[in-house]
Amino acid sequence: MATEFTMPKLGLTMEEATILEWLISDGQPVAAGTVVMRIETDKVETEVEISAEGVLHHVAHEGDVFPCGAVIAYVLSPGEVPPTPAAPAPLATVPAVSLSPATVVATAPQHGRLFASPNARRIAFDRGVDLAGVVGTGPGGRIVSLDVTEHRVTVDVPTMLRRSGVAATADAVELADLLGVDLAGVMPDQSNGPVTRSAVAFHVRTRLSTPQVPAPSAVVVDAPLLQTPTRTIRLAGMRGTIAKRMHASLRDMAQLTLTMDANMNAVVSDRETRKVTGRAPSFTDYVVAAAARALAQHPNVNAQVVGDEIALLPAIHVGLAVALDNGLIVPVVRDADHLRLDALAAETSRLADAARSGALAPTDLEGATFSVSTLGMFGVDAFTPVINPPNVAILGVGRIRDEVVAIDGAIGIRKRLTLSLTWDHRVLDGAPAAAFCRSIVEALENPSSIG
Amino acid sequence: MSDRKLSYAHAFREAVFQAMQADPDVFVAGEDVGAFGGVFHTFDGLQKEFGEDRVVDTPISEQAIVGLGVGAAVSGLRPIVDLMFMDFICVAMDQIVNQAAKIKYMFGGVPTVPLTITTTGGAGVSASAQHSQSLEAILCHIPGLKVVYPSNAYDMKGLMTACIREDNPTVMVKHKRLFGASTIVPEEPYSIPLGVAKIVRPGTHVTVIAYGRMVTDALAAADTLAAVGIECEIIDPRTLQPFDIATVVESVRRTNHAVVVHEAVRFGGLGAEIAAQIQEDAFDYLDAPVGRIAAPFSPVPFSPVLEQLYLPDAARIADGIRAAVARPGKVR
Repeated sequence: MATEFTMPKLGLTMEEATILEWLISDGQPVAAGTVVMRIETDKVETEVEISAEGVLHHVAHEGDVFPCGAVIAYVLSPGEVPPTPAAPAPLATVPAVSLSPATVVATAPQHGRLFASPNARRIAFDRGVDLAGVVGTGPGGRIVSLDVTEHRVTVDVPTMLRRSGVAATADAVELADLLGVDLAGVMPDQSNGPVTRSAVAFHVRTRLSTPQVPAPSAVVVDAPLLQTPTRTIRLAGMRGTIAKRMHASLRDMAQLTLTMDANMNAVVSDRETRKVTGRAPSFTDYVVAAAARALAQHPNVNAQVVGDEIALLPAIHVGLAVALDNGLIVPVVRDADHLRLDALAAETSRLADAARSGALAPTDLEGATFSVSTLGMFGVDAFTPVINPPNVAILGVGRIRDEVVAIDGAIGIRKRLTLSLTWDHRVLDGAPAAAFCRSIVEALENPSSIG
Repeated sequence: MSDRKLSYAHAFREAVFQAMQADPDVFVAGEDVGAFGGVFHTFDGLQKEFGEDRVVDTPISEQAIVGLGVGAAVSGLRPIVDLMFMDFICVAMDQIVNQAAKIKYMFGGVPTVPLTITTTGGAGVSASAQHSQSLEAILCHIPGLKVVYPSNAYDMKGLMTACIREDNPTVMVKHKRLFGASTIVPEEPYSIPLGVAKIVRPGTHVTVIAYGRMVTDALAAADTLAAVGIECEIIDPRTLQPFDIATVVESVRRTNHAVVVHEAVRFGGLGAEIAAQIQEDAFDYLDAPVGRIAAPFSPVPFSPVLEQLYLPDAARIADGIRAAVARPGKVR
């Protein structure tokens, strides 16, 4: 009896992964617990164990991307013939998810339209079921509500997601990401309904069949290559995720940046004092702690836009951008406003080490409500950081520098730091954004307040 | 409570009788309603009881009969005028549409028109094309008229009582094939509010809206279908205008399927209006198009064989309901 080996789901937001390498070759024996492959998700590289015993039969190739749950190998009994010779369709080459053959036959729309009764659509929306995976048993193959309710018994309910402020099924998000379609421009199957996979497909077909309309930014049109490249780097894995998220961030939000200087003399001397007794927090730790306290005072910054509402979030989790050789990663200091400075410093140093060694757990990467990004070590004073969706603000931290300043008519030298706050103007106007930044500056100028 | 049974015809008669007893302003006029007691015995013995002044035999002139009723109503009486066959409302259309239905509106709401027009509709007695029609949709299209169509003796008495007490013009349609059908009918006067439908059989799979004689056939179809696991909820609107769409919509939201049954021709029939209102108010609850089971677009045939073929019956209703809930792709 062949056992399916599927792409695992390692975190709440993991949707797909690239097979970097099969560590056990095709046809080799495996035992439960054998590490059989290395994969790369949008966040981490990790090794994956197998839980069955037998002979490993690959059906997926290295370098291809598969959705969580896709069958990528079988574990066979000795001498057993693999059940399906056909390889699964990787996401990167064919825009299809794994539907059972019966599903495809039964609901294959004759004219490109999925026939479902209004009631079936309503119930599918309520339950987050993507009708594309439902077998229709009504006249002419129409999906009726009982098909939706009975469907739940055998198939996992696709997760409902929000993307670009749009409710969408996981299938729809997957297809839209693959095709570079902005879900905000996709008409749902029914008003107030979620965007489904079929709605995305319909949207793209409509765009393709009306060439006289200039393609909006929804469909990415590549410029011709300027030169023969020395090499190409696929926009997949971490690079692909950064590309998608940063582009979506700038496209979907009304972002703007202000800068404000902080006098860091007090922080510098506080840090000198702490150095005597043990490990001193980094300057960034002071900023993270100050920002966390300021977020507690300005709850409108610790927020998220959902549909047509601004949701204020109770817990303060600060993401910390960490540069890696091949990109960047944003581990999260959870409940940062409750951490004393030394505890916060210990946590950021653990996260940074884990990030650089690739040992971050998926939970270390989820749930940031605000982010801090530091470029001071490169001599940068001010910059325009890009918000990490679905946050509504991000703080850029520059270098600490000596500056000659006028103090009460005399000339003095001060340690100065420039903070760059990017915020989403949909959520927050300039005055409250400046007041938030001011609170951070005040905390930095009085480090005893951040303990 | 008494379990006295009364026929549809005599339930009608009893409502008129008791109204005339209770209110001296109530009187009856029509062809053969007096000495003969009505061709369907619906006015039996009333003239003997109340005299020729209150139960008036009229000449064969529907226009004059309704006109008499309109005039008497605006001058303070509470007339019941009878048109022997619904087909003949066409003769009296000016009085019904332009006078009875409009007077209150035309005169600033001052006059009331407490007129009840009674008539008989429907086929099934080989009365041919000019004495068998179901023209209720025409009446329901006229603002200012209320139209009732009872399906059984109990509703007949209560609705007829309500019509007589109503201060606006009402049309009471009796089905010719129901006159002999009996149910328990309380002796004391009672009225059933106009515009309130009744769920005559609760069910979970499909809402069937039927009125008049079709309620009986729909109930028979429901029995057949219950044997194969299809539970029909049958709603008798009882009043066709104003129509109780709320009860229908509430039911359709539960059953997700609807079928309308009537004996009138399908095109432009009440089924079209009911289906339209269902999709307006319960679109997202429908699993199938609203079905309509009705007569073909043809005059009612005289030949009894053809007439039987023409009329919806329990078997055709059952077929229509099966089609509405069908899942041909379902593999057991």
